[in-house]
Amino acid sequence: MPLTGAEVRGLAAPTVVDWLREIAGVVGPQQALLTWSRAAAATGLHGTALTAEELQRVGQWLLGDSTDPRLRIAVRSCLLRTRVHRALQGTTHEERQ
Amino acid sequence: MSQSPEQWQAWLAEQLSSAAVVTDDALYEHERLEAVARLRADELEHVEPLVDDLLAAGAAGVGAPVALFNVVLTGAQLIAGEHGLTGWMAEARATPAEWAPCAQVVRSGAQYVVPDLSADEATRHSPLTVVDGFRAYAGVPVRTSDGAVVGSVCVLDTAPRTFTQVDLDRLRAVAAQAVQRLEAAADQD
Repeated sequence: MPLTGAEVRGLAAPTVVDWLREIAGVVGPQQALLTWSRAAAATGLHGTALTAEELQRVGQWLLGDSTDPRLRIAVRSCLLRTRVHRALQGTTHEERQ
Repeated sequence: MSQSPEQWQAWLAEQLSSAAVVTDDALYEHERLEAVARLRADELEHVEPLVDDLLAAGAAGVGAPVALFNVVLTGAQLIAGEHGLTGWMAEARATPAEWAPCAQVVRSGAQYVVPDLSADEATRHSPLTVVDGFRAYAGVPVRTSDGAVVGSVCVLDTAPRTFTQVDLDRLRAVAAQAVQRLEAAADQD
């Protein structure tokens, strides 16, 4: 079984905690927690192990809800990392740029 | 795992309290992120039409197969404009910040030139070098008129090479034109 492009590059799938850390780096831990809790309540995605699709739903909700430009950038950044992982999961290590 | 919302919130708070939160990385500076937002530089659909023609000319001028306009966010960079890109990077239009030499440009606010990515300690282990086969890099800051560095214009080559002062001046000209267009667009918004 060939390694995926993500595996060969050592890129793990982004998690809820990864997203929270990145958002907290911009708005602080308490605001990150409040924001995420609001998003989880609105989307019904309270899980501790969200899939890439579920993280994307939370991210899109946050982009639609937030008026803080810095928070929106952190969310876009999280969405990009999730997109990179998904793109690389669809490749094997034989495929090169 | 099935949890009530209350259990989940408690778990979340515990995770966050034990997580290392970034506080001193220049990528997270508030003024910089506000500049990115003001220019809408984090929106691919907005930036790409404004810069793509500049990158084609930049790549041709430097004689490199790939030229990029990268907007560095917090944990990832958006490839907001490109010339010559293929494969997963063309699909994702992003890379993690820790793989990106352009993040170094933003952190330092200065040009960054690596004639041989596989020989440089900072880049030799990067997946872009080891897996994707890039061998040479030159990037210059994309700096707003307020002085914020929002990203980098860079070229990549698949063989080691040197970059001349003329090459770097060409990249600086592309970066300056790109900022001019982004700021003009922001003024019209």
